Amino acid sequence: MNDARRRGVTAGVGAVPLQHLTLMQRVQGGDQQALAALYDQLAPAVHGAALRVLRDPQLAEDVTQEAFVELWTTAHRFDQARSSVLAWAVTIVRRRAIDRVRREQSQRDRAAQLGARRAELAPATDDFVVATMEAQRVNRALLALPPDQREVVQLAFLDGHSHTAIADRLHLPLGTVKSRVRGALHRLAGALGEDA
Amino acid sequence: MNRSDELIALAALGELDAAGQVELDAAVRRDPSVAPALHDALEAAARLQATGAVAPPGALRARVLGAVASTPQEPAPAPPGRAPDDHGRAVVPLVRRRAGWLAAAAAAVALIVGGVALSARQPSAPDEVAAVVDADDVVVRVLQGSLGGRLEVVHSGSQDALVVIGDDLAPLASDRTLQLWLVDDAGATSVGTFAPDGDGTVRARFDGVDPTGVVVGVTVEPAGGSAAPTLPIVASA
Repeated sequence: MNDARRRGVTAGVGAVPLQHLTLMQRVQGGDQQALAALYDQLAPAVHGAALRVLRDPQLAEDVTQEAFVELWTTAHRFDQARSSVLAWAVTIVRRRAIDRVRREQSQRDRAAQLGARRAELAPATDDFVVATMEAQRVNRALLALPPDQREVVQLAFLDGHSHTAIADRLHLPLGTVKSRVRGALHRLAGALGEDA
Repeated sequence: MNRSDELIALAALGELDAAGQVELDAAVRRDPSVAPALHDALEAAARLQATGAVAPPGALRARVLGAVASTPQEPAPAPPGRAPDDHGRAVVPLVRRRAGWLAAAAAAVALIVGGVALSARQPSAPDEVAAVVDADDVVVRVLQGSLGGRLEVVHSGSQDALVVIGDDLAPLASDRTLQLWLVDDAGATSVGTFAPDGDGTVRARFDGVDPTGVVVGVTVEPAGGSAAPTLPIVASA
């Protein structure tokens, strides 16, 4: 269990989706120990995703907790045809984190922060990126994207911004941002799938 | 970009609202290519975000598990006319479902707006229904979904009321009710519960409700209704 926790990045990605699925099925049956085991495996990824959006450690902890409680209460909604367990958990936490930002911060404050961070983007893809094989794979796939697609997915999923904030900052229509995100995820899925 | 792609992008971004979720659920049911595309997009987005994995403080684990221990799970919904799914979803015994339901709904705060005001006043008296339906300023909205038959929400500003009109609706299990919600970007507000009679007919009036400019949605809920909607939304307009 502690090993799984220390492994962090690699524990959540790729290597153990089947184990996650087995645990999730037990969670759907009301098994709290299975939820604890899933927490040990997924918490770093879930908490990391919350931090990207919220930046604030205390808020990120709160939203991580909310996400795991939601994963528990709404376990019956999980559908393996639509997502892996990791992707489901990360999607839940991102949605809650984005909602929290919307509630607690004006869009204008956010846009100002975005402007400040944009200058740092190019040299350091992200402070959080750690040198694991998974991160290298993801970076390789990112670098292979067309620049306009890479820009929006970096802002959305590495810097943790909503698509409305990105549209504001880049002076793009919302539809264009969504379209680039969709196109980028499609390419990334292909690249990561071949590379896995 | 077609609408399914837009919904998939919003889902991955964590920015799909309740009405969008309804649309995406419908798209998944309608088009077998949507679920795999959604799966791949969510996976790619999650893998990007997971490169920033940061273990939370150790104390959070106990907080999470404590919260989980005191929070019952939502019951799995069983919408009418829908085959049991094949994804190994658990069926929680009914007694436990009911005991824990309100607490569970309260914990799943994502969709709750304001207080809960359940008003299960159905069937409404024919003249109460007629007063709305025959008003000069009625606005009729036909709900689309999986309930079969025909379902309408009729609103009159002068009567300050809406009426749910249903005909030939699919039968509902005796321990279930339908619940009407007003859904906007901020979440869902309960209007009240109603259920088709043996003929699939609904005539239910709700006073002081104005659905103008928001999505109206119907969910299947445990008898007595819920504090927060149990997805999927089975009909909406």
